[in-house]
Amino acid sequence: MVINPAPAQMRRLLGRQYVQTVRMLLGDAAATVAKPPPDEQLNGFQSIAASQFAMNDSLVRNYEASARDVAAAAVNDVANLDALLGCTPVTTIDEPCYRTFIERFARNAFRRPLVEEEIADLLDLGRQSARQLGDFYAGIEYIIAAVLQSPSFLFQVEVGEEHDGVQRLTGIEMATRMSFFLTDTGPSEVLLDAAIAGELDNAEGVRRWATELIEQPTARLAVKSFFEEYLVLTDLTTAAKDPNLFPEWSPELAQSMRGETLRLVEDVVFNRNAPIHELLTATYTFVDSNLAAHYGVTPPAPDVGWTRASLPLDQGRAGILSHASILSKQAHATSTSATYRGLFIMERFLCTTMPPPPPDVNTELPPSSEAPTLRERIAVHQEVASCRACHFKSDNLGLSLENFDAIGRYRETENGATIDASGELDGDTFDGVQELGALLASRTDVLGCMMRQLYRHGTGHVEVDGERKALDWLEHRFAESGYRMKSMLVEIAASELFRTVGVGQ
Amino acid sequence: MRRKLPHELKLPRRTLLRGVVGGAAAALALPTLEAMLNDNGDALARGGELPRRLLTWVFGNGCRLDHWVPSQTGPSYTLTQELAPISSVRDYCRIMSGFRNYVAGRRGHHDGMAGIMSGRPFIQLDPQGAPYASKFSGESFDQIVADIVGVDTYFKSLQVGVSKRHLTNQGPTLMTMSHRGPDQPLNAERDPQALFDKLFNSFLPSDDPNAALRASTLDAVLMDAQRLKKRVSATDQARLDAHLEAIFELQKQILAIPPECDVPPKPDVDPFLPDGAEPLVELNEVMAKLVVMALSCDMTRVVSYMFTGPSGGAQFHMLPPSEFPEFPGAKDYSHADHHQISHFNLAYEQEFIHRSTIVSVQAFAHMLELFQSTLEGDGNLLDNSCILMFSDVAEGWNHSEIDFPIIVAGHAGGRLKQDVGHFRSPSEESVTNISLACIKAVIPEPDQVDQFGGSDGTYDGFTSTPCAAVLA
Repeated sequence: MVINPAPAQMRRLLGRQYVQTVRMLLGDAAATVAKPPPDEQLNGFQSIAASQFAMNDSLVRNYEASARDVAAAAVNDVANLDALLGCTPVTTIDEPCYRTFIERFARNAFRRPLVEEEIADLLDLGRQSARQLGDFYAGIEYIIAAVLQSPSFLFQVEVGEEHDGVQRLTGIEMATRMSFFLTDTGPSEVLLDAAIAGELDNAEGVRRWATELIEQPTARLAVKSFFEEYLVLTDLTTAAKDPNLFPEWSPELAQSMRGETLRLVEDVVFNRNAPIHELLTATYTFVDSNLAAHYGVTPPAPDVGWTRASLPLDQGRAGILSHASILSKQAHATSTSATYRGLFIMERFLCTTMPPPPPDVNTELPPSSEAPTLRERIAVHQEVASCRACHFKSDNLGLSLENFDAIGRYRETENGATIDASGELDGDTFDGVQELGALLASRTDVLGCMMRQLYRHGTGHVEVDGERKALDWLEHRFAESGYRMKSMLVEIAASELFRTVGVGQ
Repeated sequence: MRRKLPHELKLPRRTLLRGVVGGAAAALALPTLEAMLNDNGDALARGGELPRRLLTWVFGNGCRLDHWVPSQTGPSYTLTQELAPISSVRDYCRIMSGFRNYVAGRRGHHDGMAGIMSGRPFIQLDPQGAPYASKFSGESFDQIVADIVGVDTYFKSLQVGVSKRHLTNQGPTLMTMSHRGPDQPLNAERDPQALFDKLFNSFLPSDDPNAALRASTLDAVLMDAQRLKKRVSATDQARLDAHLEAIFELQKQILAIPPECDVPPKPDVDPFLPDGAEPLVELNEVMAKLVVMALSCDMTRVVSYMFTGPSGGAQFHMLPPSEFPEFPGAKDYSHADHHQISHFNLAYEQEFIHRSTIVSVQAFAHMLELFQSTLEGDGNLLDNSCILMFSDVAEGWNHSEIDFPIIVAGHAGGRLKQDVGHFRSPSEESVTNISLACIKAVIPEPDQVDQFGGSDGTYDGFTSTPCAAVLA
């Protein structure tokens, strides 16, 4: 198989990856004060922005403040300090003890062994700090602060080595890539040791380690974080809603909505290891008391935060497309949006998008006094050929969700007129979200698209032509697994594609 | 006779930044206009002119041109409804109409931001059906200025935003006005408390032993970046260069002696009202005050200010239906997404956009009034500033890209023409000519920058002719 992967790009750790890696390296007390800058996103994923944008003054200032707080917390975390040091200092400037600490801590933080020059720089800083402040631990503190601000810590660096005409990631580069991909955490000391011992030099070894990594608690967090980005739920709690139309909307309710969707993800992927397309068809969900009231289902017992519940069948709900989270996010502050919802389905499940509106386009919709339902208003709009060309597909997908208002409440009418939630996609017709979900779940291109989204997230770039064949092959592997996400994670990690990069440009 | 400074803007004593960065002595002049002025108060004691400042100010989603563009040209034009808020500072304002964005034509909102700020067509990141995004293809003009006038100030430039309901999912073109290059957006600070801390809580006492150690720590970080540069691609080397530059900047700041600005009380305004809307006017007042403090203390000379975001969903909660008695039974848009409303070309919706534009111009006028009341030398901050105010589209409903609403305010120490009033270009002059005029108005030697913008072969914003209607 010919692979011509995208060129390698340094990728800055995402905020959650930074915090969890600090936790792994320095413990909970240090992780609590780790405050990385907020993530941005590009083409739908934070990792893509992290692969392109450079540092600037504000980011550097933010990382410095965080590193100093983390370093201070780490040296004040007396219970864990001895284990972290690996030695007991006998003088204020105990050079061998600094060296012992640097060789282990900085290796684990940089995810590679250090060259002597690097050790010497950090030793100098430790000595200078200890001398100036008269305290051995001041040296440790400043060494930690320096390591945590260094690009070698803040960026995944993937260069690879030429191997049969491709740039194959080295064992330790592979340890880093798979560890962040599967657990949103840098590689553990054990994994780094294994990589140095050559255990990640072939697909079998990677598969063995990947299978182990996805059983760790951090893997659940990582998968949920992926879905949070993929389903565009990261900023749901600050979404704007008109308080007069939607008085029940609150950041707390939004938080519950987000929690519902991520709980279903965890249940399908980890608890049940079920086919991923059940996310689009599940007739059950998880509710807390907020959501139970929102959906009109039985609330959990008072002492239980969340409970599994059947979705109300008379509302025609099924799968995540009928979750209040997605329905609320893909809507305006005052009304639903067939375009937002349709474009969301196109981009996220069909891997296609819409061209920009032509210049000088008039996007006016007729008033609801003339056309009570959104479908009727859009129909007028779609009489214009230049609008129809792009909006037909998106809006007709989105209109099938019109039984749910801008915060996901069920409704049968709009302005007194009955809502028609029927639609058509590539010749297949459906009526309402239940049938739409089932149709999407039955399409292999939708499942392939979900896998490509995971690949985009995991590698920090949108797939390029030279990667398509390899992705098609991965799709077959995904199908063979019965579309199980855990298998997909392992297969992506162990694939030839994931283990290579293009030469940087 | 030197005028007395208003109490809260009293300027600090002359201070010098001293320190040792990476073994080399660094000296950096900080603030202190009062101490730096000569006895006449009209120039620096050491012979230089008063510093000139650049503020770029944007509001999202355009205006209603029939309510914006005055019907007369020249200094005695009649203010239109949307321009009425600037009446107290109209002598400082040049209304520039009839200008055209020559890099426009691909994507509304993106075109305007990239055209006016960078003079170049943006880079589309629209691969393979993934969600659309774009980034600038070159440096924004405020950064060209910052590289020249920001070298000796505490911050090379500042980026500030008011509304947090700006669009974050279409890339940096719409998120911030300031870009140092395609992969180097400078994000705006939109939290008043965080901006306050950045400005006033980051200085160390001059005897803090940690200052030197923090600088040494950054030296170790610099070494790591230098070593890493040898292993990575040209693209990543450029990113590491930006990283190195930012670390140098932080070292300089750590070793700075704090200016004696009278520190204002820490802002105390909630980012959201209990009903979920943003208190736009109050937030603007707080942010504008901090910006003026930063400029008057000479902590920076270059600021970009995004009042509401291009294509953004700011809520104009001060415009409930009761404000529109001429539209009985009108829908309540006081919590609606501004960008959504802008696209409805209907009478009430466009009246709403018109009224929201007035709110935006009021916010702009508030900033100008603060500048005006900040005295320095024989005049005020407005006399020594160039302020470019614009929107990302001309009219929002159709993304029109000819005749953007543009105001050039301030006198930039005499570099900008006075008594212009309303100038209407007879020739659809390029908006980038205005950007270039603003560059030349602020940098010490106008000839130092002779061109601005560029082309991708199809869309061309290049100019070497600064707008003659504004540049004296």
